[in-house]
Amino acid sequence: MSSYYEVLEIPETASADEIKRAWAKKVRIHSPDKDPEGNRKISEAKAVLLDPSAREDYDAQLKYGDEIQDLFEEGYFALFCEDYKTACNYFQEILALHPNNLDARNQLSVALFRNGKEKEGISQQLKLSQLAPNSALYAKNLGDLYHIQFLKSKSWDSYGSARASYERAIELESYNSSHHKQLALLYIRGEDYANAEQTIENGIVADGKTDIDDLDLMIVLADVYLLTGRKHLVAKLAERVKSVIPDDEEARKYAAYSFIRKAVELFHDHGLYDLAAIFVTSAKHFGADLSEEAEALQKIERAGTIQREIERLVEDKSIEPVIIKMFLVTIGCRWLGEDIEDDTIEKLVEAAQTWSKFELANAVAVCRKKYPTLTSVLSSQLDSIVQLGYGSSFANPGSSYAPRQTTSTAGSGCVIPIMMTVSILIFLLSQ
Amino acid sequence: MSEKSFGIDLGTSTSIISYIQDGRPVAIADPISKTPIVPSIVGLTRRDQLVIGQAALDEALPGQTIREAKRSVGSNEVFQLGEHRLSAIEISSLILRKMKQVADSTLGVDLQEAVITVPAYFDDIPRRATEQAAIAAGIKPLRLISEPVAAALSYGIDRLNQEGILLVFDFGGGTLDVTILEMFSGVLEVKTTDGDKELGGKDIDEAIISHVANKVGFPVPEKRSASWEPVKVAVERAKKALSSAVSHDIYLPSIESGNSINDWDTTISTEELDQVVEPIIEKALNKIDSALKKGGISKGQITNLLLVGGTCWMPSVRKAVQDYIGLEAESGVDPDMAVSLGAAISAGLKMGDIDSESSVVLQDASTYRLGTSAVSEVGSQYMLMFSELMPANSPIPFVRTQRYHMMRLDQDEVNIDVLQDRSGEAVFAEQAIATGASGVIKDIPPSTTDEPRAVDIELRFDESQIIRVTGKVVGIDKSVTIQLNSDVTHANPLDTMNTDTSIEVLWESSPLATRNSSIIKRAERLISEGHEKAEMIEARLSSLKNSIAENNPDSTQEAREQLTSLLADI
Repeated sequence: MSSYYEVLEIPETASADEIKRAWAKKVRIHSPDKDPEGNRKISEAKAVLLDPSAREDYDAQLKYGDEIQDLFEEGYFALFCEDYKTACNYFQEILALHPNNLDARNQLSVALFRNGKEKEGISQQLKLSQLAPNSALYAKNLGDLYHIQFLKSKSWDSYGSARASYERAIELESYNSSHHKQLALLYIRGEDYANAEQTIENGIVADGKTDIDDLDLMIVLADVYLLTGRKHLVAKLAERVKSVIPDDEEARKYAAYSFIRKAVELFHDHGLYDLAAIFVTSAKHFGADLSEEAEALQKIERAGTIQREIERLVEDKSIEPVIIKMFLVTIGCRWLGEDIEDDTIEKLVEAAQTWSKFELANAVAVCRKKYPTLTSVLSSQLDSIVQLGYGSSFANPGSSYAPRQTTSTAGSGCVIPIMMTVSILIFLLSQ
Repeated sequence: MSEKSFGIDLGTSTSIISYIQDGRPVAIADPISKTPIVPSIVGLTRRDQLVIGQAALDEALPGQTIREAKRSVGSNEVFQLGEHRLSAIEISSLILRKMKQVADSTLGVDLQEAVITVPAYFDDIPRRATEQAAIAAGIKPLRLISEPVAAALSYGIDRLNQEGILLVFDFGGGTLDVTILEMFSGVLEVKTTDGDKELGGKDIDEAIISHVANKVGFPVPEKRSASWEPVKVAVERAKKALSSAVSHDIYLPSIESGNSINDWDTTISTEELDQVVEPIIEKALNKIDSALKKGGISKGQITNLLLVGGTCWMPSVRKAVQDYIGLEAESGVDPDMAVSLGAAISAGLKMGDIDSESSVVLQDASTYRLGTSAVSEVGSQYMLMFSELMPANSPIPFVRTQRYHMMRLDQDEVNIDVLQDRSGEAVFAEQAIATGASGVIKDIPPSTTDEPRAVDIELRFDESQIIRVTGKVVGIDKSVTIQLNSDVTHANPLDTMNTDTSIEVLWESSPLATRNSSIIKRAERLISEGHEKAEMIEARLSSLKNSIAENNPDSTQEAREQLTSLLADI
């Protein structure tokens, strides 16, 4: 195939005026009337060569096309191998041949950043934003780099720059919810929840409609609610999600699993069982067929119920003797996966021996009535502690038993303690 | 040399046919009205005979007259003509028949093909509709050319060495087009076009009508009612008169409007007219601005101004545009004739009647973007985007092929549609307008690799600015060529069968003895030229003339057919 220069029969150094004259001369020969095919070729050649930036790209492609392609392949491979230093070299070589190559500069910026040269990475991305000021992608990439820098250094300058870059991306591509999401996450990390909430709400309506596509943002909104202590709003959010789910099973499942993923995250990563349960209950509410997950969901919900019961129990002043309440809270927390020493439990068991079987049994009965889920999963432990009291369960003083080893029945992978519950526990123990 | 290059300006209000005579464009006068300007009006006489042009304007019987049908070309509007129901395509076709007859009877030819003009702002559907109207009138459309481009061609054709930027302000009866062209090194290159397909002299007329109604204190008569026609005619007359006089009297007896009948008697001055017209001019000037913006051209770069279209006869319009651009309009350009003459030039260049060596070459461009709808991943969601296949201001003819991937490995069907974007800003499919061109590739076998199959979509946009799209599945023999679809939104605009009248029958009712006059003219010419079959021609001609004189339709038809078949062999 002939080059555009060959098509117009001009040297590669031709000026804009020479290009235009040569084009006009050719159009007179290959007029649209007589030679439409030939006319198209010269039109295309003229369009590219008269646009300075398109001409630079074309020239580089013409001269170094194969070389640049090889360098890209090497560069991508180095990135894939996480050999960022080598990747930098390849992308820099491309830019030496073709300074206007936006893709190479974008990759270079990423490679530099990952190679620990954050400032240089950012400066490449800044240059890219100047070369392509209307690219939302590059504005967002720049925001991401500042964002990461902020997370690492807590520098509020980086925070401000990240924010400005995301805002630019939103300005250029308001319908793209991922820009809104990134900005909202930045706000959350900067603990500016009001702006985070506003950004998400803007993102939800940015494309002119609220629909299932906005689910991703709504889930981030749930984070904001939780972080600002408004967990009652999560249920309302679920209603909002439900109202935008179109009438098909795939969409219902998509919505339900988004909520379940959030529930699992709260359950496993944060040990927030009651909140996780709220998400599971909401997910069930969407009408999707979740029978495959039934067991896992039931576990989360039960854990949520148990956590709520423990919270109620902690506040409950009616349980006498209080040792039963302390014991139940402690083994309940252990069931949920709290890291509780055997020692702590042994101390409680020891303390229980100072009460009569009758008194202990009474307290346990009250607990069974008021906290059915918690007491049902810990039924045998409760039976055992009653037996440790003196006398008979009918107020008879009697024999004592050696404390039994209590074992945690919570088989889940809950590893991170619930801060709130632990502090209550400490409070109780110190009484 | 026989005349073969014809150009027809098929206007909203008036139509003109021109041809190339000795390398120069000449407009052909209607032998009946003696002027080339043929009103684009179709009517029925009191005796239900079809009349077209000046005769229809003279009759102008309420309910029996159709004006400005061009505004509805490509829509499914149905016009009532007496007891006949006609589509806009059929009305255009009748007007084109009339234009053909003007040429045939004046020049003694049998016009077969012609370049036909359309507003630059016409998109695919009305362009196809116009082609269809031409074919129905027995005229093969050589090409459709945008009206302002034709006008520019008539101005620039032999200005080989002139360079500069030309702005054509084409303000016709029904449409406004603003086209900017560059004259450079013997090429006339269209840079950009903007316009309003619903702004024209008609709107000025209506504004004057409501002003006059307001002055006399009665409501405006309902459109297409018995009183609408006389009011419209009077207002058109006033508009013309006021381009040379300072005031004009209007007297209209027995105008029925708002349940009462009154005589309308008033005077309208040029000042009043200017006031009435001002907001319409304002709107038109805004289009100049948007055209400049679209083309990335500043007002100061314009070197020549062409005023085209009947509405540019109005002094206030001329003045406003000249002041706005800061240039005097080119004086050698006749606003009425330029478009038709340009169309003939375009035909002449095609047919070789004009020497292309000493003429400029026209490089036309698209006025809008074309694309297809394609699903694209944006952030975390899939969106239906407008995927551009042809940018605005692309040189035409234009061809581009773009590859798209299917969504799933087992996808067995692909929908391809063509969307049009005038704003230049459409990002989503829903922001663009469906052209009505769409198609489906069916029964695609599942992908045999781990990637979904690809489809190559080829867009062709020809000189007449008609879209042709082909979709082809890569690697297998499955393709679809997309033609206009009769979907719900367009309700079969190109289907002339939705009306109940055969235009052939209607045409035959024309008192103009249409076919006879042109064939007689041709026969007489051949005889005078001393053709070898002159004797035979003469015999059949005289038998036709006798039949006409006897007023015997059956024998007339037979005689005409005999003469026609003889001439067809020559």
